[in-house]
Amino acid sequence: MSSRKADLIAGVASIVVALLFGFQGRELSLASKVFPLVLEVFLVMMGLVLVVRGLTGCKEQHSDQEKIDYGRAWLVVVASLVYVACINYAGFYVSTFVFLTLLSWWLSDRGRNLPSLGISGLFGLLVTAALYATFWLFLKVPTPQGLLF
Amino acid sequence: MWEQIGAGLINALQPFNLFLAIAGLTGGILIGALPGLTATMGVALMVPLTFAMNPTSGLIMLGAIYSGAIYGGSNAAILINTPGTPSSVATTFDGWPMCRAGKADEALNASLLSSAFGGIVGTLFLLFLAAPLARLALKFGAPEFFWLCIFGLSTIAAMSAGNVFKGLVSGALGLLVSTIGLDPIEGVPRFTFGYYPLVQGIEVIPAMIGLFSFSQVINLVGSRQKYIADYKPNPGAFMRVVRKLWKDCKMILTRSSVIGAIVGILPGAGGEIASIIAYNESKRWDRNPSRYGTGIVEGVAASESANNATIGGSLIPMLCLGIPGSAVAAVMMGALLVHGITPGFKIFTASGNLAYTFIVSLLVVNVLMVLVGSLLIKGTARVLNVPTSYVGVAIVALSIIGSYAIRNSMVDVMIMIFFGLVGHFGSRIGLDTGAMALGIILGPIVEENLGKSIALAGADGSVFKVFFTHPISLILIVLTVLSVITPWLLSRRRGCSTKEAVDGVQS
Repeated sequence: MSSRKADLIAGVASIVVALLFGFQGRELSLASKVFPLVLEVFLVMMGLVLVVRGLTGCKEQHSDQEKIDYGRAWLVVVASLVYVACINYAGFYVSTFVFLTLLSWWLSDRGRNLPSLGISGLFGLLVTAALYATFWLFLKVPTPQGLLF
Repeated sequence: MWEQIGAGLINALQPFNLFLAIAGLTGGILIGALPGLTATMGVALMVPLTFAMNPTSGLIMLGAIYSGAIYGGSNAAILINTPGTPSSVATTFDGWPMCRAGKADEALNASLLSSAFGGIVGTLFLLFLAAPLARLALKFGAPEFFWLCIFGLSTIAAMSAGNVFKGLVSGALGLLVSTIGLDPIEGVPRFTFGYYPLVQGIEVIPAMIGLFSFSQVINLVGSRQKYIADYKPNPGAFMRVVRKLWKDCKMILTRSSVIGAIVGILPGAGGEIASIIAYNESKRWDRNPSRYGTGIVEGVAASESANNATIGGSLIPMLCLGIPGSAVAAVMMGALLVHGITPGFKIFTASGNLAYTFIVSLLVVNVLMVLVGSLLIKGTARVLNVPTSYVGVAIVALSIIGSYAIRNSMVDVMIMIFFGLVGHFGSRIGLDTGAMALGIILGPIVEENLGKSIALAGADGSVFKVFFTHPISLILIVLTVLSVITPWLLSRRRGCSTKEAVDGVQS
């Protein structure tokens, strides 16, 4: 992405966020909104600077950005959302085992075959057992609960 | 006093107490290394165990957990770019680039030795300067806290030297996000966008796990890297780091530890503020500040020595005044009260044996931390040899449990995922996740103290008098101005020097 485009997006995003917060806070009392209001004004000003810089600046490239395979990246995000949703039903540990096994298998470089699934299953089992021992048995930290567990 | 220190040392070196210190350190380091599990949680979880012990042994164990957890946070910060505790945010700035450059061993050892050094300096402050520092802490009112946070925020200017506008936008976005939830002055719900659970506000830790950890998983998996970083065990790393710290970092370690100890005594200001200020100051005084953030030992040393030095500092108001300087100190104070010991100045006379044994044990704990930490580093660094497809999904599971554990809330888990996306796409357009995290951490403290100061000004009839005439405020204002303009002045001076050198060569 060129730095002009990045500036433009960052500028517009900060203005949009400031306006959203400004709109949400329009009915607040002065004491409640004085601090956010200062920040909103500041964000709009900085956003405008970035937009102007994006429109008039030179077209240099970001040199330190890695290329992202968004197919894999979105898979992680969607799988995480499905995992969180499943926790509400199957409980944390069952969902964690299934999530760790299936996603590590799918992302693995070993190919999507049965031996690879076995390795991922073992990995899922070991990590889930380690989490159970650490959080449930030793630290007694509450973990998300589902309908079943 | 020296007699009591000697007796304390003998008590602290009893085999059972040494065993408790090592067990506490190990547990604390592991808890600190797990994102979402804080030092407060670690100490609170272990308090019931101490009920069966004598108060001195119990306190030694809690002190060891506290020290271990604050240091342990740096392991995750260095190895997976996820601060294990909020105190380690600044450690990611140089620790993670070092790890990516194949210098994980150096970073981990630098963090360990600096943490131990900072911990010892903080404890010496507690041992010898407790009374005057406790009195200084009492002079910090709302305006002073407000300016302290503004001083902390001025780090953004130094942090984002290459792109100050985006750094400022990131910081302001973080501050704005921190206003979601109940208004600290009037208790009115704000910015919930029609979603009632947001009334509870944005908790720092899930937001931070999202910004640093979940976004990192997206990057790691999306970039198709086989491993997080190239890692080969480096047998001589420990001694190399010792020599480097001795040769180049004496000033950094001392200055950062003193900053940590002083910030630690201020109630409400903890390791996160201390490490950020210390990092900023080290960068500001360096001959070549642009090295910071590229992966240098100095950056890790500044952050880690400061956050461990806050431990001794935070115990000063707790032991001397009965006012806990941090959440962990509050939990430890609770443990003392359960044993029938009331903190306050009298603790040094009425329970002198306990007080001095506990303080001296913190010195012993910090020495032991080097041994325990060195052993654990050998194991933790091996995470870099596990393929990212496995590490990535395990980080997601840890991120979820860490976000949930703070308030037992699935909303926090969704907040973590949301901030993961913000962190990923934000960094793609050049926004600074470190500055954003800084805003989220400092936002509530800034707003609360701004509100109190404005109320004071209303009662006093003068905004100027409240904000600009207190001596400590003036010092902090001067430091803030210096912090903002020094990088600019130094870069100008270096520009002139370079120009003169080029002119000299040409003539």
